[in-house]
Amino acid sequence: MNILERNTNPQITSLVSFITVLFFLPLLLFATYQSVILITRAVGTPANVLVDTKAVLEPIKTDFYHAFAQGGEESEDMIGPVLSETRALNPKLIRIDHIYDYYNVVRGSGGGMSFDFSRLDAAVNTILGAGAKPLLSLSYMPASIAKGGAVINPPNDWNDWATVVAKTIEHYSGKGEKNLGGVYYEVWNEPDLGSFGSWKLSGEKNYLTLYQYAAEGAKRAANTNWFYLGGPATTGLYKNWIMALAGSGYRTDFFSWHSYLTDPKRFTTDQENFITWMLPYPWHTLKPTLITEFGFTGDKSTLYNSTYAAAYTAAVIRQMISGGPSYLFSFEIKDGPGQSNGWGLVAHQNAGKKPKPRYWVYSFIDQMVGNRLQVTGEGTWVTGFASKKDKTIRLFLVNFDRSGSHVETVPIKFTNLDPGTYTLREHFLFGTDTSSEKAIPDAVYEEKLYMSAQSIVILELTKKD
Amino acid sequence: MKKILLIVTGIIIFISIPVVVFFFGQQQEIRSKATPATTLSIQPNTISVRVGETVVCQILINTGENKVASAKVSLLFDQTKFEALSITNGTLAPRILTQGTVGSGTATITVAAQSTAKPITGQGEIAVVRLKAIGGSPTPVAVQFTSDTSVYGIGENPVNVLISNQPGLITITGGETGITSTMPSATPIPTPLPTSKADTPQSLYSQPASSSALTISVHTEATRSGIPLVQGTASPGATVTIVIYSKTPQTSVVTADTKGNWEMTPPKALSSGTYTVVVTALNPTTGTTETSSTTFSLGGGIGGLSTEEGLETATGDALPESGSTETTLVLLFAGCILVAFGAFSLTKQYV
Repeated sequence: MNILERNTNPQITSLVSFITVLFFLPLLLFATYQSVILITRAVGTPANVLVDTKAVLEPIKTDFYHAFAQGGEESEDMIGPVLSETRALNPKLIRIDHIYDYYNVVRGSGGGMSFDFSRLDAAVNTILGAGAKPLLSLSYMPASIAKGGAVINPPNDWNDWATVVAKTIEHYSGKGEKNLGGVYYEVWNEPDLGSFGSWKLSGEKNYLTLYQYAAEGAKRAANTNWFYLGGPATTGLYKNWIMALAGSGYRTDFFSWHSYLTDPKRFTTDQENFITWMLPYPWHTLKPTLITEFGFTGDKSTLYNSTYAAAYTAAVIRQMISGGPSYLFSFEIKDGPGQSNGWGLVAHQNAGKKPKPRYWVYSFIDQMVGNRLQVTGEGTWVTGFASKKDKTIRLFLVNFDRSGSHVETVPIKFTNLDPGTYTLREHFLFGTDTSSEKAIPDAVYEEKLYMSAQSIVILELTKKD
Repeated sequence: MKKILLIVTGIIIFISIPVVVFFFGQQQEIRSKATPATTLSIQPNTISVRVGETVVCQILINTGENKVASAKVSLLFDQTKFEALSITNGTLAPRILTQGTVGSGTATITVAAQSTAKPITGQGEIAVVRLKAIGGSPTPVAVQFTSDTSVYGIGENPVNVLISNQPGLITITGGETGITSTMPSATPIPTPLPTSKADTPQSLYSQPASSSALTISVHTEATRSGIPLVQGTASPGATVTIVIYSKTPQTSVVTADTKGNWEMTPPKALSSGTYTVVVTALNPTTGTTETSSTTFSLGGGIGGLSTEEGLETATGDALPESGSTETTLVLLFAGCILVAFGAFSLTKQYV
């Protein structure tokens, strides 16, 4: 017995021990609960893929995932140094934020406001040079008009905010200025996040007020090409935010949110939820939906450097290949300086601009263009879709496992093939690329394909003349 | 004078009749533009297939005077007779808002017009579903629309403009029952079914309930983890649709056997509370439907936890998607035993 025990009443010791046990009991229960989740997560359904090559569904769209976002790790045009790498991604839309606080656009306030778009122009010109259109996140509040000079605060005068938005739209969409068509203007970035102001749907920091004056600014913008104004760009899909904006009556040309979800299938759920909420507002269901940032975690992670990120991205695109959003923005194009665990598709120029595995996914999936074919038998880990274009039938499969270790030998069967001789190509992204000839006399081709963890493959059957 | 009055009266009547008819017609036209007028149907509505064969069904729309933005098509069928392979959009609905999903006895998709400037109008195909016959049936099997099938019009009030839908009847030949009959030529086509407009318990069909063949009994004593046994009788071979109204209605379709018996258990566990179950039986011979309902209460369930709670909140707040109740309970019990042992040891050591 130690000195403490010798000098303490045994009953008190017992009581303290009992309280300690009670204190740790919830921890034990929590740990048990988490263990159960881990154990049961290992249980799932293996794939048994069946492609009916005569069951043709809708055309496959490949543009929607050629959208990319660049965060504000540096207060300058971050894409410029990796322009050729970005152009090779064949981007349709590129999103940037921090446009007011990083590029010194606004000086003064009220009647003394002046605008200098030269630095922001350089970033927008880079986006145009990459072959994309810009999505400008109207963020954050210019310090010269913000309360207390803090860029995440409301302005001293809401009319100044409307003027800033009007001038921005006139500058880029105005027929007498940059004359760009189809520019997206998104009101703020992650307004619900503390780092970006912790805006609410009421009170002094009411996002709807922020949006209302942005819409007022859009209304004031004169002699412009068609542009899109939307939001709320929240950290996730939140019903109260979406419904508040939908019901606000302010100009809303698109709805946007961010999705950092570990399970690719949750993207489908989000899309279903959004449409379910919007069905009573039929005109809203026809407006573009933009997931303006997505990834498996909003935190920095070394997994973004690995095939995990590639398989995750492929699995999400598979979920969204039918009935997905108008645009799905991968976050982000380039790492910040000194980051070894950044979100970037390519490393920072100081680290050699090397593309990471995720970078190669987009062009790989582009091969799947054509009409979608009916596929049944997807599994918990191995998912995919098939397409037909001209004489070639393709099956795309991805084995994505959140725990990162699942391997599977997948039975694959193509039915209703035209009998004849085919060239079979098995092309693994980051793996082998082999071709062989197959005689298929009875309209069916079967094989078993081993898929290692986080592997991505396209099987291609091309009928020979 | 009397004659003049009579002639004037006659002329007034003579003129007023076409005027009234004309204005009535105008009113009707205005009303038809302002009210729901859209119907859905399944084509072919009668067909015969063999077990193992695939049937391609078109979901057809007739918008009447409505301008349609979007449509949610949700189909139900006996999962022991058909396996849904795929569902996609049709030529009249160029956009897919939510991807087609197929499950056990269900197929769902939400499709839409290209834009508000180009709404869906007229008649045509808005979806295509492929069903594989997996079990023989002595009677035609119904493929029907669920109550949450809906069509949304632009500038209409109410926004759901669907007024009726017509199921399809498919005869499956061959299979384990050895049935080889083809579709009887005289099989009547079911009457178009009015659609439900709300999630409140109500009949799926317009036909009044008959007390003749349809019965329901709910066995809550058989409850295991909030899953009661619902069973009853209907016409032999009837397609029986059972809807249990909870926060989100649970729907199942079964086929009554040759003696008219049917039974089902809800796909998801129910929490404690009182529920209404509505059963509709489609008689394959006459094409008529019967509806009946009853209520039942569950006291136990799964600890009062609704399995559907995540739906009302943001998606990010949904319930954990994996986990096992039994395993959890076993591990919790084991944990409690260990804690008790620990506490006992401490007591022994210090008291």
